[in-house]
Amino acid sequence: MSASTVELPQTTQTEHQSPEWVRISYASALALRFRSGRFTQPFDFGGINLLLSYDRGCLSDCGYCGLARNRPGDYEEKSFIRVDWPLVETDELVRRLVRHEDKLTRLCISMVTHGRAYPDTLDIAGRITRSVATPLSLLVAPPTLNEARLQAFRDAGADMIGIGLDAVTEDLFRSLRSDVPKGGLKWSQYWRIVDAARLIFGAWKVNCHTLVGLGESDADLMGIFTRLLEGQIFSYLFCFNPEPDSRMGALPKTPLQRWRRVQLAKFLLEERGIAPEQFRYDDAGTLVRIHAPRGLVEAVVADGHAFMTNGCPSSGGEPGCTRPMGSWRPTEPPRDFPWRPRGVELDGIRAALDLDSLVSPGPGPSRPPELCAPPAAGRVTE
Amino acid sequence: MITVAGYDVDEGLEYDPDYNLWVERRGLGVVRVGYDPLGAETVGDIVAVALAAPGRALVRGSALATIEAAKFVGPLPAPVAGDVRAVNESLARNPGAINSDPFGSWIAEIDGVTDDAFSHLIAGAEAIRSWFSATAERFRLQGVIAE
Repeated sequence: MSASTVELPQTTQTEHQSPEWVRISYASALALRFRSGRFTQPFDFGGINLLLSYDRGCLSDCGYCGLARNRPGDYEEKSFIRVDWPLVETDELVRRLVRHEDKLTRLCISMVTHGRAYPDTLDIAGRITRSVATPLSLLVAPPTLNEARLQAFRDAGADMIGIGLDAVTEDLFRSLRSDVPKGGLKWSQYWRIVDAARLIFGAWKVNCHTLVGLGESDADLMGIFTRLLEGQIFSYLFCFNPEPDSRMGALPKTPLQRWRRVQLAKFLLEERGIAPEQFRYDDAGTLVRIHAPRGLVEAVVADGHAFMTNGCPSSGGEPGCTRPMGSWRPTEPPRDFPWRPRGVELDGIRAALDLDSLVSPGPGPSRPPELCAPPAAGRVTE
Repeated sequence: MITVAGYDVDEGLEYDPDYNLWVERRGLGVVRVGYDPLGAETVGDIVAVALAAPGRALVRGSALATIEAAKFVGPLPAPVAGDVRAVNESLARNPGAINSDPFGSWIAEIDGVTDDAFSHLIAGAEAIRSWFSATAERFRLQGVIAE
């Protein structure tokens, strides 16, 4: 297998660009005390997300993304996942990671499509892994990579690789990420990097981001979940959350019932061994029936883990990257819970699922436990 | 203004120690209220404010507004009982003003406030200094103030 890189223009290094500067998620800024503030519901949070930062920004132009090059506004002022990502000095960030290491659970560097993204990611990864033992993931930009570069990431200490497929069919990927004004990303190239990462990093050390609400059907989603499960690659689920001023900014957010049903179906497929043919769809590909033992489904709902954030684990196998409010506003019910939902939260989940109209009797697990996905968000110690 | 723990604090106002709100007496039974600097800072960057309707009757602690910040949403409790007399409509357009200028960003006026409603408020430079300093330290230990 060979994975070629796309030659991207280099830019002149200026004061506030990576690798000397990075952006961090707002939640990370709170956790590391770069910003004042708090969460509505206090909980332990230690999943720190970094984002490379360049004056010219990301050279991709994905229709749903806040960082798209054709989205109006200066890159400095662009939100990502709807909120501000504070710009911080990398060495100060590392000092704070050291200071707060006892509460950190998972670190992640997100690349952007840019000519300096590979060497800068390698540089920053090295600064981090030389300073703290917290596990490090990389959310990579496939156009900038090949096998040798992935191997270099592993040698630098990263233990997991994420690939942001986002769109789960080739047609959708093309319409949102390839055939767009400044697009050009290639579905085949993304999959070459998925396969290369799987070989280099190993089973259950690679994940693909899949976004619900870009125009795909439920059947499309379950198809990609199955493909990735067979390859021992995690699917991480994200809910489309329209980014203001992006080309898809006026589209509606994924309805809650659809989102909950996809969460449930994904969990039953991946972690409870329910066979793909037990999920039934209408002509539009909408999930209309799950044939499975009702008791098993009820137990999954009551357990709550199916509705937690899909993210890379901590070194102890517990939830590491939980992205609080990454796909929901504080005024909305959580889409993916950074904590285990209980009580009224489970009541809301049950109401949205409407299991009576979704579940019919059917056979139990057919996939052997050893071929199911391991817990993606830390159910090891339960 | 006096400077306490690095913050400018208006010693001419009274403060609700439980809700981190300032209270300004503006005539018989009328007060104006807003977040004090610690209250504004520790909710995070405020992105939306939903204000109670004028005329609404309040007891102390009932919601005068709903505050939405980047990672937080919650009620802004009334520091005293009374009726909502007016709200600062400009905050709907510029909620971040509460963070940048908490004393200049009044949130609501309450009337029908009785004299005994002020008994729990902190007033006077020395009392304010002592309380505000301790509160800032508590927030720092909680980790909700930037380093």
